[in-house]
Amino acid sequence: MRDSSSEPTMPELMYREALNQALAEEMERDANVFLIGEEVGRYNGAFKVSQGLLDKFGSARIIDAPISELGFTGLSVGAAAVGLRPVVEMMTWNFAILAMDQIVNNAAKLRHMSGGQLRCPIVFRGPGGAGGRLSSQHSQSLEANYAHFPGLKVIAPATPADAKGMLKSAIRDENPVIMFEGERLYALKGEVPEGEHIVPLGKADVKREGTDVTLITWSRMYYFCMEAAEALAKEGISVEVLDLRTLRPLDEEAILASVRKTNRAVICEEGWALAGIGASVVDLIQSQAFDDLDAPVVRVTGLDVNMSYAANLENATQPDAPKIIAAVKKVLYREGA
Amino acid sequence: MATPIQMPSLSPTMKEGKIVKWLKKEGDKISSGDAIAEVETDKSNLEVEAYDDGYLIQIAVPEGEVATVGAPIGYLGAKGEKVTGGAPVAAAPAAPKAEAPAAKPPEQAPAPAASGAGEGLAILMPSLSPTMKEGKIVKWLKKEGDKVSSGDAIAEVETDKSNLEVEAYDDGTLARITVKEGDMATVGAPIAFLTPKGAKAGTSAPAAAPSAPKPSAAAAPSAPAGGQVVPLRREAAPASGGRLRASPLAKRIAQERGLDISQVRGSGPLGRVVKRDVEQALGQGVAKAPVQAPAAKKVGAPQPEVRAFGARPEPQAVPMSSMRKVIGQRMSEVKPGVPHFYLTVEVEMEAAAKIREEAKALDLKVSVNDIIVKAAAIALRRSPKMNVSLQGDQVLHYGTVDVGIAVAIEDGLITPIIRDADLKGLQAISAESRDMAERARKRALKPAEYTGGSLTVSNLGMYGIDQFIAVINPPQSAILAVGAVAEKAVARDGQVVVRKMMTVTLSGDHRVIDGATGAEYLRELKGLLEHPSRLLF
Repeated sequence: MRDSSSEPTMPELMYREALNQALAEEMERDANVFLIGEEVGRYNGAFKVSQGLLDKFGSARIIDAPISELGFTGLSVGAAAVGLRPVVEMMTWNFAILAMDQIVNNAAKLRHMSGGQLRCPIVFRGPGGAGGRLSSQHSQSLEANYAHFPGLKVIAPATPADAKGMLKSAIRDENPVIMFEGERLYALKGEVPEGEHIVPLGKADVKREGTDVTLITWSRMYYFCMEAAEALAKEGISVEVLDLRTLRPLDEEAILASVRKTNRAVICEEGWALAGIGASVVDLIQSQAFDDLDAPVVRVTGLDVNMSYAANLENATQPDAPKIIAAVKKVLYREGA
Repeated sequence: MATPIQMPSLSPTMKEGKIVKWLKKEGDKISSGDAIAEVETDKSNLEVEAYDDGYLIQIAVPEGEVATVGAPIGYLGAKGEKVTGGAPVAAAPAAPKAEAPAAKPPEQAPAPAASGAGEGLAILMPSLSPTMKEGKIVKWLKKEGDKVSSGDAIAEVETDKSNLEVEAYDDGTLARITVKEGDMATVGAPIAFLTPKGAKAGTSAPAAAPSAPKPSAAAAPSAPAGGQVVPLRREAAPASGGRLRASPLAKRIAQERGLDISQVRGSGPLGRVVKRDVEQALGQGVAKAPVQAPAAKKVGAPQPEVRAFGARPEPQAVPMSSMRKVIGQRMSEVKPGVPHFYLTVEVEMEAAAKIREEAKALDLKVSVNDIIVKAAAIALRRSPKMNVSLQGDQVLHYGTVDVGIAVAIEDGLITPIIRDADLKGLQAISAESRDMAERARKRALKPAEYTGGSLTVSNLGMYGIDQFIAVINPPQSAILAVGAVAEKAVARDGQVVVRKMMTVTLSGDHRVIDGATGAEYLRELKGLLEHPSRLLF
């Protein structure tokens, strides 16, 4: 999988390198920024996102934490409350469930509970989604859980360029930001602008223009959607691919504009269907653009099961290009759907 | 202005209802949607809702009394308002036997003079078979303004037996076609007018020559008189029981462009009209010239399709063919009401009984009846011609298999419906049957739970009845009368052996189902019950 959305003259970086660049640039820019998490220092990060940062910034700012998600998350929330700008790396979002109370009950609500006196500029980031034969406790797409809570911003960039630009925005944001990085995206390469490259939060991106149907997606599913769109183009079906990038707040304007243009929508997400992000997108479309719909909105989601260990079953439970193609044909009332 | 609250029809068979309890009293403020009274119908007790806001200014039918459907049971009005004038009060307390103030059929249009009016010579719908009472114009072979010679075939007509050509008996010019393609005309009614040779085409030819003993095609679009809706040009009506299927976008574009969307043929699922259909129609100027409506696409039984989970396709309404209509009429003449026919078959229940034993060993409650319901449903799925019901002039072909189960209750009988019985496992059918039977006994079933479906299973086996004939529960088209499973001496391979046997009798509605269809269905049912593993395929 290659990202082809950026300008052609930029250097190609892996997704993890783009994140590393964003961290390094922001830590250079602002001395209040620090990184904490398990194995982020001497081991250079479980997924090598923090490669070389310990040497560069020292152990006061690149902090190896023991296996204690609730503890180091709580410490960071306190640090944010007194003016620092922590970046908390979760080894995977599956482990962050242990720190749910600090994220949800403290970080998300500090500003509200203090009547606006305290801010909480903090980024919680780490890999989510299927990891490739890591089974059910390590392969969950938990975006919907966090997107449910007012007070949090939730982002899930798909491309290395967006990963860099959005992490920089997240670090500069005055509110807690949850950043999902697709575990299987870390080694993916793409062109990334050098230096100051900011992608604003809350803005979706039309990654591919089309006229017949809008494919709405984010994170790793974006690549399956692009694959499907290209295959469908050969059959004369023009697919618009809208990468949400930010899941809370949703870029309602971009979603509605695209659906009003194509009149049909398919939403693809790696997570489970029930109470998923896609369900909220469907709600938005049907309540705001009902008269623009030419067919019911269709969702392609992960199957409603725990993730299998076996590779073939793991693949079978997740959306892929053929499933997306079938959904697009269904929404277009094409034969063979 | 006082508005009457009418006794609603709360079940398909309800003619009157008893006010069990008033939930509001006179003077109470009422909002639309408020439950205002509890009513006992022939099936269950239900709440009556108000459809308007206002004050309950008068209760017309006291608790314990009966009102016919449509009769006012109370009046809504402004605060302090009184129901004045004799009319509402007189109409109020509905005597149990009083005729419901329901719609009177519209007056029949006067029959036209056979010769037509003005200079026109009428071309009449001929009688093309001994039983023909009306005919459908399949196709006009000449158009208005065409010259016609005696002996020319001018139209193709579908009779109850076949399609035949209508000939002209005079020379002249076809001045005016009064019955459009797809419309019906009774025998003897003018279908067109001819201007005789030499005469000038008259404009005084009858403007609206009735084509059937109903309001004429030309008069049809006007508001139905007397409340009775008689969709004359059935072919032009939207499919699926009158519901128009169109995407919101298609509706919006049609509205913006002034297009009559009911005239557009839909290319989406179940004939749904989508944007491309509207655009195509606009391109062809459909708004001005009504064309054959989506119903045309519906002819023929629906193909079974793979359904999305939870989706329930609407039954597809197919207008009755002329032959089917005559069969219906003749059967009704012989046996008023639903003309039944009966088919009986003996089924060996050894294998089915084993399933029950296996279920028992697993501590699961599965009755013989549950197995029969499941088999009846699968057989229905495989015999789509059986999965129908007659509604007026249309045969509803169901896309789902919903099977009724006859439940005897203290003061009668009710048939709750197991929806999608073909898709449900025995345990689910069993649980649902028990739950519905229980609630039927408490008269707590909702109307939606005992309406619909095409077939009911009526089992008197538990009473030791060997064989009986059941009466169809209209508008369903069939009922299975199931007798007791009993050991009988039967011949197998030349030997007399003892086997568990059961007799099933199918009563079929001969207006829509024929003997051979019923026989095929019973053969399938017998096969399924004798070899239950076939339920899996």
